[in-house]
Amino acid sequence: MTIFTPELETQLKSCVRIAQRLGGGLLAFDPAKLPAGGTEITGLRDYSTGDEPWRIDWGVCARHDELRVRVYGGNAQRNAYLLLDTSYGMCFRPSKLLAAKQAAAVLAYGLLATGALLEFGTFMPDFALYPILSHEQKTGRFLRFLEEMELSKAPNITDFAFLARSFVEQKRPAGEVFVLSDFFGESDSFEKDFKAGFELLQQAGYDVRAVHLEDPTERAEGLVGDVDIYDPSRDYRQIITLTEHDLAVYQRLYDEYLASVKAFFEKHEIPSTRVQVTEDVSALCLAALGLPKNAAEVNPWEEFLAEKS
Amino acid sequence: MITFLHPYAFIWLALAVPILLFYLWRARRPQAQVVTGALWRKAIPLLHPRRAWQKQRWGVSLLVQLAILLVLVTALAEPVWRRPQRVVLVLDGTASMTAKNASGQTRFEEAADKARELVGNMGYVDSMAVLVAGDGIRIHSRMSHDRLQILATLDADALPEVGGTAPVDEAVEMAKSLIKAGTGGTFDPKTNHVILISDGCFPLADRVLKDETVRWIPVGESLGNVHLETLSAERRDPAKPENAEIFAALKNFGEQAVKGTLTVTITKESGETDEQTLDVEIPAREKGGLLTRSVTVALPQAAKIHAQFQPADASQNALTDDDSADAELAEAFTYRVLAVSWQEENTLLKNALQALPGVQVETRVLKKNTHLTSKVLEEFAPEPFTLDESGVKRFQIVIYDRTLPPIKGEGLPFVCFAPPEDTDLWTRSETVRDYVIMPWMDGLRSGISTAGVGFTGTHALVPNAGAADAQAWLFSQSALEVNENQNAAEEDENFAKQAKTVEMTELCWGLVPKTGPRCVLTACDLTQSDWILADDFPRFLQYSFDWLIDTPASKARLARGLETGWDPGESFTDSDLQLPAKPEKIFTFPAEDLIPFWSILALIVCGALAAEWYFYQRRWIE
Repeated sequence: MTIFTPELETQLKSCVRIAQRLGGGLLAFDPAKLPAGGTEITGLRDYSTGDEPWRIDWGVCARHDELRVRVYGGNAQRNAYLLLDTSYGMCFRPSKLLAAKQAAAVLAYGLLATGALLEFGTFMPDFALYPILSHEQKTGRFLRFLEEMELSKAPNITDFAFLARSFVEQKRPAGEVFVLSDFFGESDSFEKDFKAGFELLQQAGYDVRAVHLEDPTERAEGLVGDVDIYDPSRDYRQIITLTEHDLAVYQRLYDEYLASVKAFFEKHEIPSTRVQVTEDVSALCLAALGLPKNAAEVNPWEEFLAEKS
Repeated sequence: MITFLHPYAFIWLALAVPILLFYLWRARRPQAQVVTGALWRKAIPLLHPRRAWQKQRWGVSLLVQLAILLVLVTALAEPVWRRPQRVVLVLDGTASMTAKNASGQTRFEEAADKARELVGNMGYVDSMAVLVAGDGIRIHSRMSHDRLQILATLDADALPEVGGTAPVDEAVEMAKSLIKAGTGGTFDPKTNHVILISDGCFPLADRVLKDETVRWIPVGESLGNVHLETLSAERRDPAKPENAEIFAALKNFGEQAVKGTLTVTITKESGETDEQTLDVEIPAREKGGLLTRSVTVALPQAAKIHAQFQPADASQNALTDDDSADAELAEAFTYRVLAVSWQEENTLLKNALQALPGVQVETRVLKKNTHLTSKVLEEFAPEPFTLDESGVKRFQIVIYDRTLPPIKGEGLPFVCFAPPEDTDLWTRSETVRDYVIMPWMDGLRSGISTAGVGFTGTHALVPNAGAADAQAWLFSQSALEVNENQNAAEEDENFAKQAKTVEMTELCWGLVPKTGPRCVLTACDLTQSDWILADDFPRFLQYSFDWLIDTPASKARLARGLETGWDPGESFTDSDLQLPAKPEKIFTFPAEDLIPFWSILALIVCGALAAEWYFYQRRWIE
């Protein structure tokens, strides 16, 4: 299934532009502080009270007979890591994998558009980092790579601790780590499976951000009757007659699990967003950037105007 | 006892096979591949209490559906708690049913009311047909379960007019046949009923009402009635054939004597009428109830007689249809017979002729020639008949005993016994045999018994087809050659056992020549046979004479003489309006449930289907 659709191409640009207009969304970052604002002389201006004396350009003062100070500028380097969960649970359903790729694409484009150095990695069954991308023009290559990416068909389970450990051992520069996953681990507890990994990444100095890919079909709406429930990753099979009451029990557990994921991210101040894989491309891209569906219509000056009035 | 109206519906049980196949096919459960196996593993133990039961779900559901099928098919077979009754209702619509009760309602109207009441009590499983015996017997309503349809046919407008003389006993037999036609020829008195709604006043009522297979529902009240039972006009006095005796018999079926007048009207051929009125008092039923009156009139011509009874008190006479009667008076006639014998006078023949009323006998003996001369015949009777002083016709007839009529000339009608030669009209067979008329080959059509009569040394006679139209009207196909075995025991009474051969030989013919008068040809030699000694021999002569002259009066006498039983055209008016004793138990349909059982089964099926769908198919089991 191709992800190179004209719609996606349009959405990538427009969604990133909307995100930048609204403060960045999930892409927002706090640039590192540089001495004197930078090391590159970008111009001169008149001296004003309070300017540090060492910034006075005495040569210019001598030629012009007035006090002139040097103005410095510069950007800090932004490192970003996009880690995509390619476990069996993410891949066996094409719609979910496509949605994951689309989310990764929009994040990659947004990061490259802000000048970040982007490293893309996949985990499960093994962890691998791919060459660095450094400009938004490389987005096409990234998309092609996403499309041609070979995925393992063998059943496996997401082991996030293994990912974190592997990534930290790479000793990559500090930066933002975007994790795209459905966050289903081996057990029925999110904290048990993922907490250690997230903490390890944070302790290593990475700014972790989570994109939670949720497939509503996993909520098993309407799945009543005689069914053969089969989870090849866990080698779990159960033949059962499901009533709606039974289904409600499962759905309650499912909802509680999603709630626990959200609560964990809030508790650990991990910026996160939830993407429903069944959304259309526009909504999916906005959701991947942590923006609401109506973000395009939001006036960023609304609060300012309200305060002023 | 429970029975099924449509037992063949159980063939639908074959649907169990596709149901089983569907269940086997449906046992392949759909697979749902998930990534949340951990959550399912956690959720499913919470459902544990029902899982053991769920394993039996398919089997239970299959059993429930098979049970539903069984109940549904049972409903289609229409089970009933009692056996359906198959009834043919015979409504008596004969004349007696026109009699009115004290309430002013006729017996037939009362019968129709009772019929409607009976139909109203029919169960939905019962079926009924209605026969009405009035002018004739007809199926008024075919066999049906539909009460409303049957009731519609019992409306006053839909019922036929009452009156007539159809035989109710035959209607009852027809009703039984109708029932048997629908039951494969069996008649089960427990479920099959012939119900007769009648006043019981009809011929052979005793036999019909005592029939255990007939349920009689009586109607009407006993009423007095007078019936003009008999009216006849006969010429009974051979000495005075011009005199006619008009005989009338009045029967009173009431408890009291009835006074009235009897008017006899005589209409002659010329159209002239004569009327006589007689005052009569018919005794009560207990005293015999019969009054006869005879009137003698001198009337040689034919006439029509009509008699009408008029009661003094009309309330004593419930029916007026049976108060009148008609009769025909035939023309008066006598015979003058010339018996021509061979060699010597046949005294026995002469005696037999003299025994006949109104016959004048003359004899003649031929010595030389077997043919009577024309001259003698012309001297005897130049004309076929003459009129005597009272106006009575006297016909001339010749009997040739072993002699023959003149060779030439028209001649007179004649009877010929044992003709000695062949003529243009007949040929004698060459063989001579001794014939005995077998009892079962008796000439019944004439009412003349010839059983055991022997025709000894007889030539069979064969009419010449070209000369005459032959009619083997007596003793036809009735001859048997007796055994020639002299060793046969005399006491052996069975002729058939002694018979050597059987011949179907015509021994007596009525001939209508192309030209000339009629003649009766008999192979019997009266001097050899014992037939002339038989009681019925004079009646044979009388029969022959009447046939020979071929007049309306003779035909009428022949017709009366030939009557051997009931004439289909004859009517029997049900004039006795006194009802027979009522039966102890009046038939009605057995009671039954108000709601048909099959509808209850259908409700069970609907309920079971809903439950099965709710609990199994929809899977809302808590």
